[in-house]
Amino acid sequence: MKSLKRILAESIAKKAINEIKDSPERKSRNLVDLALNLAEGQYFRDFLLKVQKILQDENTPYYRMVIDAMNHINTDRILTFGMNIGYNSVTVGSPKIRAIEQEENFDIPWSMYLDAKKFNPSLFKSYSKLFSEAVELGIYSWHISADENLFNLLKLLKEHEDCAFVLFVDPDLINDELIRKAENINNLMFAVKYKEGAEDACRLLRSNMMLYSVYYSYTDNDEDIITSDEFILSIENLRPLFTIFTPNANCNIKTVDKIYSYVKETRLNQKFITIPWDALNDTRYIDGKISENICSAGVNAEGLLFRLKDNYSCTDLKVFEIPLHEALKKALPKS
Amino acid sequence: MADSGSTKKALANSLKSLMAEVPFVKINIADICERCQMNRKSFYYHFRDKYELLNWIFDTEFIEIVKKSNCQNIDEVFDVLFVYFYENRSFYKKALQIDGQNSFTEHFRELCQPVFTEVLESSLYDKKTTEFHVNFISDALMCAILRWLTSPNCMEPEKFSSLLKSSLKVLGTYRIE
Repeated sequence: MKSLKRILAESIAKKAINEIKDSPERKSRNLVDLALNLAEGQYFRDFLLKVQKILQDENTPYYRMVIDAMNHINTDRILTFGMNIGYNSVTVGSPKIRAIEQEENFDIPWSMYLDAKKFNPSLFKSYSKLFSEAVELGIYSWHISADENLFNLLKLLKEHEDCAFVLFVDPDLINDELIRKAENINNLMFAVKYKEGAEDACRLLRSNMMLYSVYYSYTDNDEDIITSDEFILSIENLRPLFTIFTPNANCNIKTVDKIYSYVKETRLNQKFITIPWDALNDTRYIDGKISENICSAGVNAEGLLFRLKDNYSCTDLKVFEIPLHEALKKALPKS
Repeated sequence: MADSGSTKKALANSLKSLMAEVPFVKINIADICERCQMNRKSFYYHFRDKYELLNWIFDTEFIEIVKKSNCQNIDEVFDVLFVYFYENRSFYKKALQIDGQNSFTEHFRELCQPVFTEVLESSLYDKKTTEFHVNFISDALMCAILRWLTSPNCMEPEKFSSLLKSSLKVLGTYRIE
């Protein structure tokens, strides 16, 4: 059973979201104000105060984004995904993370990555155990890369209804059958790769009121293209909620920093009706606000824990064989 | 721009003080604004109408109480809710008598129903009847609260809470022969 606070918060949020269509500007502001009343934790409150300030500008394109979202995304999906991030991950998860980190002297990432390409259905229970163990540690949100065996993966995500999953996929995987399988999974946001086929994929997701974003995996050569506003403008036409940037493995740290600066600047200056998001640095920024030390970690396709600090480094810790708690403690001791 | 929280609070206090003097149906936006020296634009920036302002009063004040008291179950929520209603009974006995689509009664029911649904679904055998049972309990609760707050000898909230919970238990043991 959900906690009473969650039920009450959800009840109020659901009512507010359902009423947003009547008056998107006023209701959005009121929803943020309400969230501020409910929010615990200084980071979340600071974030909401920034959003509150942005919404004071009646010309902000984010209002158009809200209207578009309310008209084209199933509100149950917005509510469930939003509550799992805002309530479970931040309000419930963060204090848990901080408490365990202090008591046991290791770092816990706020969100984790999972490479579920070549997802093996025979490891279903192992993946399920991984998600459950993560929740025990206060981790409720996941970035998952997937290709084959998506249907089995979706079954897994549906089982863990308290978590929020962003599923990074190629556009050619988005079809009617996938949409039917994903229809009742409200804790899921698709992130469609920006390449040929993305337009059709996004159109299909949109027509089925699914929650989705678009992502671009950039290299050093993409710096100028991305930082010209034309790039996000072209993605904006696909109407994603977020435009997510992820650096390729060999990306130079200077490129990564420049892209992140651009992402922050455009988000603050409210240039687009999609929210630019840096999958690596924004997640790490949030982690730094929740915990003393910034850390990021994930599980690769072989079930090994990896760390993402200045670069990717894989450990020999098999999370399907040892508890996640133990693996993180060995991999991320506090310095 | 003035802090939105303080503007809303000023409008809320204005509505509360007006409701102590005149029936809700006779209060208009101009009255609310004049009482707290705000302009109508400020009002409509935050609220669609006076009903929305009234509902906002409950939402923010009740959330604050639930947060501070750290209620873990529905019994504890009932306890803090009824203390809150009792302490503000002059206001809520009027609020609960307002009719209409966006009335406080409707708003309060919509907030309670998910809570009852969650509680009942775990104990009901036939999930198809959940909606009926939730409506039944919501109706009973609304009537009981209104009767209590409008009673000339409004009993202490602890006693009301205890009687209400025992009534629900009695229903739970009722058998049709």
